[in-house]
Amino acid sequence: MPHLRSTLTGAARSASAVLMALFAVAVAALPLAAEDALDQKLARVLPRAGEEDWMAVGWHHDLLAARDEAERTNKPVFMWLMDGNPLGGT
Amino acid sequence: MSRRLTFSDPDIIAALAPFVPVAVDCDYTERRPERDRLRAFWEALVDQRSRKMFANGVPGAPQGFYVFSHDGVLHAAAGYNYVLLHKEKILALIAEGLDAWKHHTPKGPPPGADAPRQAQMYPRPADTVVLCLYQRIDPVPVGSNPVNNCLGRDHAWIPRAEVDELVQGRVPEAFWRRLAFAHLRDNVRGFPFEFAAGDLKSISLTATPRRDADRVVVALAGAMTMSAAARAEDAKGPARPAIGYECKIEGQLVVSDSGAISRFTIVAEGEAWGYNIGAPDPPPGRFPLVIGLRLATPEDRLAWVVPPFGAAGSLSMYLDYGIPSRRKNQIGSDEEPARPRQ
Repeated sequence: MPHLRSTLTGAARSASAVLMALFAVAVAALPLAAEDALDQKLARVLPRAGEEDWMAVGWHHDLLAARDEAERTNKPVFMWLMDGNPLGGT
Repeated sequence: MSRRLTFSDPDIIAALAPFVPVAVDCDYTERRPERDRLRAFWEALVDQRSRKMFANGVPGAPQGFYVFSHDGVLHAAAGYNYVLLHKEKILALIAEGLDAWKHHTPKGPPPGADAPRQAQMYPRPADTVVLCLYQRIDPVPVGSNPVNNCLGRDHAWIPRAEVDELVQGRVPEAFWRRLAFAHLRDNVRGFPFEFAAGDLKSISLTATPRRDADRVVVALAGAMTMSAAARAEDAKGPARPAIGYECKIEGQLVVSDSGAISRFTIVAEGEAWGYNIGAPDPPPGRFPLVIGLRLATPEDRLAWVVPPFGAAGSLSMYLDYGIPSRRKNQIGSDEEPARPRQ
């Protein structure tokens, strides 16, 4: 049954080609999947709605620069002083 | 952190509109040796406010809120705990200070006007990569103090040379030390604990680069156990429970052939326990703590100019060794850092 063998072999070849193609796609997608998975984990800790509203105050980080601006614009200064930087860690 | 929530209130944001707002770290002024314009101005300012004295006569931390005019005259001030999370007290302080300022006539140059002006405090070296750090307890165990719902934040400054090492598949010692001691620690409720060298029970971190067209993608993977034993009350301070963090670390760094960094993400997931003296009320027992770092963008204005918490006391120490120096009033382990402070 040479014809049938040939047909089966062709089908097997096609299946093999499809599998190889799928494997190649899967391998290519692996880094992207890893990126997505990492981004999903990172998203758990990123700021949520309202958690960065305190930045809307427009804080200066330099005391003397704030003093100079107060003199230039004739405004008072409001200072938030903390053991640890309020604009950084803690 | 909860203190930031105070300034998320729309009424408080509106009330601060007539002001120049500034937020600074006591450490940048009080504990630096330079006798310059900044120090002179700052000292004259905080000395106008009575500070609670410790039993040994040393004045307590000046942290709190101040309203003053550009000539250095203080118009209103309040300690931290008095107004913390009390909206009406903050608003009253703002109104009191603004009213006094309106009736004030500046009488000359500010304190320290003749002193030399120091360059920017802790300037960020140009060859550092800037990351934003966020952390939260997720999920927050039922019944926990609400302060545990807060978002912890920080910045990380990574020397570019370390990034180049990672691209080659090598993890520099300073990189993992900085990560372990300065960044992978609980600051959700505030002041983080400063672990000593002996508290790092184990850490593994690998960098695996692979080429992807015109860029190199580096996979970071590892785990860490940091743990400090409980301490009984003694002359150095009150009792403290055991504290630690056990986590898995994974990350990804993407650097193009031109040297541009398009991605630098690190995520630590694990369990933390205990608390630092200044940041009590964690969830009971072990609790899930997630810490994430991502590449800063130009919009992350503060990350480029406000130093990482671990740099307080010595930026060079932070950059070179990754073990933060212990502050004078910091209660930590009795063990010395792995390397001497320079």
